[in-house]
Amino acid sequence: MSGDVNMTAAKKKGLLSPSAKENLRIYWYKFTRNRLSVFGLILVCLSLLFAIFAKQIVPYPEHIGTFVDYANASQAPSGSYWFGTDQMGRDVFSRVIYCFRGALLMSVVVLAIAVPVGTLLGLIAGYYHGTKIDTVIMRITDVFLSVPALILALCIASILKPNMMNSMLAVTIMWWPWYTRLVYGQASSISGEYFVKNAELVGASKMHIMLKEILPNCLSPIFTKMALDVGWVILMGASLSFVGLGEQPPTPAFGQMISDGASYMPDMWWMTIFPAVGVAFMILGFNFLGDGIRDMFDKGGH
Amino acid sequence: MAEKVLNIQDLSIWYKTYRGMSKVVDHIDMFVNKGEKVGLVGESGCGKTTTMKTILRVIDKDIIHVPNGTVEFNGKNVLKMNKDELLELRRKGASMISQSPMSALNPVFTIGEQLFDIIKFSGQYPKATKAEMIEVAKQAITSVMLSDPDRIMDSYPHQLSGGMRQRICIASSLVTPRDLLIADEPCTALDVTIQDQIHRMLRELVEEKGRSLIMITHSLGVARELVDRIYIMYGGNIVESCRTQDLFDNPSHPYTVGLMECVPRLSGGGLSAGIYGYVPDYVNPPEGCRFCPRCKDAKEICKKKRPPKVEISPEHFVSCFKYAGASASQSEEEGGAEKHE
Amino acid sequence: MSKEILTLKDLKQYFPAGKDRFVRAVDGVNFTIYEGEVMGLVGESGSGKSTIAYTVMGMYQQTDGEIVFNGETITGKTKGRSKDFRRNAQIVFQDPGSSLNPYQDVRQILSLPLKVHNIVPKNEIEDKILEILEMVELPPDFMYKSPNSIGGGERQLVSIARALCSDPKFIILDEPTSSLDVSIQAKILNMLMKLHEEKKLTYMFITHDMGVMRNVSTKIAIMYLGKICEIAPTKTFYEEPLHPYTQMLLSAIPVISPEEEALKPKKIKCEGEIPSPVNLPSGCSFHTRCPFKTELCMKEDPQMREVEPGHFVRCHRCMELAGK
Repeated sequence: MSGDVNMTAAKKKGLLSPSAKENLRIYWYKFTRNRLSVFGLILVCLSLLFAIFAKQIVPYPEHIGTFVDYANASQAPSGSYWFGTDQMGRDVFSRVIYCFRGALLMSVVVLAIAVPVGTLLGLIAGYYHGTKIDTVIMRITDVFLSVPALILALCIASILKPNMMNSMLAVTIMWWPWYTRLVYGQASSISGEYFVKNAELVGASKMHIMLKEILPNCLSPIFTKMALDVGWVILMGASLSFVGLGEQPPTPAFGQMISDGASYMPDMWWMTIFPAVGVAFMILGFNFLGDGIRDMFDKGGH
Repeated sequence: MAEKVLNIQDLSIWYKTYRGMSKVVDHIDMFVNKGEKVGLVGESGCGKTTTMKTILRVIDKDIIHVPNGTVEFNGKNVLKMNKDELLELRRKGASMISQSPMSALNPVFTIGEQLFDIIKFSGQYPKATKAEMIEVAKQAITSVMLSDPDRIMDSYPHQLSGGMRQRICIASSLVTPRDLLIADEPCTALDVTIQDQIHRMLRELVEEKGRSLIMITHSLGVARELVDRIYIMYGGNIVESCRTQDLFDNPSHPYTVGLMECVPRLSGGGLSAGIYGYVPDYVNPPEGCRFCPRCKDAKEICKKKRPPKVEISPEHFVSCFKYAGASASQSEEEGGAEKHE
Repeated sequence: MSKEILTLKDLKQYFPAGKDRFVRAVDGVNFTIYEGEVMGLVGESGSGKSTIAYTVMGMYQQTDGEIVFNGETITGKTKGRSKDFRRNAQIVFQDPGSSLNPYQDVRQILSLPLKVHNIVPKNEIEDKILEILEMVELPPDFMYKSPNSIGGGERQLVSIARALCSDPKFIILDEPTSSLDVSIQAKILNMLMKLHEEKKLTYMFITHDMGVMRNVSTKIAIMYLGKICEIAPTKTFYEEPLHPYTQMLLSAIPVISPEEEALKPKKIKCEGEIPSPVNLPSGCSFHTRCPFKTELCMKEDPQMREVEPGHFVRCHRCMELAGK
């Protein structure tokens, strides 16, 4: 068989790519079947661009900080101020675009911590389904799930100093149990499958079974939930900053801008409406994208 | 000439997939006479269930495309029926018994409630009182040889065994008089001793009322014991059709021959080698005969041209070039089955 | 006589079903499989045949009884099995869809047993996989295919290849072909028989298909409600079935030729269904469906009797009914 070694290496390259390509084509077909998911993808891409290139896009980058220009205060939307200006003369458009940055950063940080923690705990509880380990992990999870999410986050954020860091921490603490629940259900059903039984019978380590056999089968619901959750984390962050527990002025945040503008309604409607549209833009985008990803991983259908 | 309950002519059914049209059923002809039991035999993925679902129009219109062919049920074209006619067909004309008795019944309603719904919406008993409906339901349950109908009507599906559930499915399709019963592998999920009982019962129910039956199955043995006439289906084509006895005395299409060799015999005698290969890719099916890539007797012509339908003995049709030479004159006619009936 | 590979001594496997009630999935089973044999274990669903397999493999802790494998008693206090057993005994599951991880390719699937048992050094794993694929007549490019992209028959071949990785002596085949088409089934069965010859393997072949059993096995055991009703060498079994349940099973099989029709017992007709294993009938568990039952059958559970060398039957009236 030794002569085959080179052939194998050559085959490795030649054989893997066509099927991977084929898979991508199937995924793309399933994703694009629904027009809304493509729309979502476009919104999400735009949000990413806004967040990354905020400095280059906005007309008045200096309006983000402590900037006052009473001469141009409270102006309605116009050619030079697309979304108008606020009571201190700052450009609303520039500030809204900058909010994308904070909102995305928050969702990335929250999910980057909550998803691995939740997934790992769910995986362990699901694999040891029906044992004490399962009971301990899942009851703790249930305790977190039983308190309304927003209230829990408000409590945590108000105990700590109100700033961006602590609001992220608060949202993270209430976010991981959802993943534990999700992965738990998936993992406990997967661990009944015969390929897991076979790995056990062969004598593979628990680590191997959890990470190599069970985890890959849980990934598609995790990814789907993640895409949907980005929107919800942004909403949660906006709620916290609306009551003053998020990003502190002068740095702009969606919730804070909406709440500031609320006192000038309805005369200076642009101060509230445009940040609200910004939030809606992101949440819609991520929700549609999430639906598209769910369809993509959906095994049935033609 | 017997009256035809179902007459399918030159029917093709395509599925829409991301790779293009999947030509799952390809120019098939088939008919069922009144009071006749017909078997449709083929392996998984040969298009037998798709064909039957199309007859009842239960496939979502968005995913299939019927480029040509007609399906006549009691003289009316099913494919052109409007909503009301279709409802009429499903209520009184034909019904289908599905493969999985586990999922055919709703788990949250009792058997009685489900049967009442069927009786109510069948349109057969417009002014029935509750007591009359119970009577009809009880009769249906006793007709499938289940004792103690009262207890069964009060049970939920999960309280019954697989065999009992399948009997209930059959009962529910018989509460109204039907002309045609389509049984889609009704016993694959059941044990052999239960299968035997259900087959005996099906046969009695069909014969007693002069109904017609289409039995979809992958087992030649089941077809041999139950039906009068057999269609062998492969890769979306009907490759052979004849009376049951003729098929087992003189299997003619290479696929039929191969299939018969594959069945492990009770009398022993070792195993056959099987038929090498898999069902064709329906998006790009072989240009000529669809069985040709797996066929031992394939010749050049098989790769290029579709084989003609040849009548090798009365009512025995084979689609294969092997038999085309001798009786080429009859072979070219479409719908030959009808003429020689 | 050749060496004993697997012996079950009065094996019992009960599962709790509510308060003080048990599902008696396996209820006192005795049999021995000798080296080189193919033993068929036949029964309807719920008869406990798969439970025997899983208990032998160590997936359940047995309620009572003893399992001897290769001269060693493997049923200790723990559920697990020794490394030696894991290497020498393998199982092929029924459903090829669920027995292969859809997120791994064939190479990953086959390399697990090779790695765990250190069959070959790390750098030779790929060569070994190619060798094993060749053994089951799969082309080498299967290495990088995922289970979802291949057919059911090929998936089952991969499962068989996985079982062969550790070079076992004994393989349990749990309905390996029941979800496949007949044309593919023939190929898998031929492959299994070829491996049986070449590698001197011993099989325990679980199935409900008596036609398949006739052509592959050397010895057959029939199970009903957790107990064995009849064990006999294959030929005797089909020609002179003694237990009424065996006769009922044989008479129910749809066959395709008159020769086979002649083999089917005529006296008996299928009636009734298998009772729940929670409430076992008194006496002989088959008496609820048996047309030949007497008072005795309802009261007393019959003992296993050896009516001929190697032919065991558990029935009060089998000799009388056979006219002997």
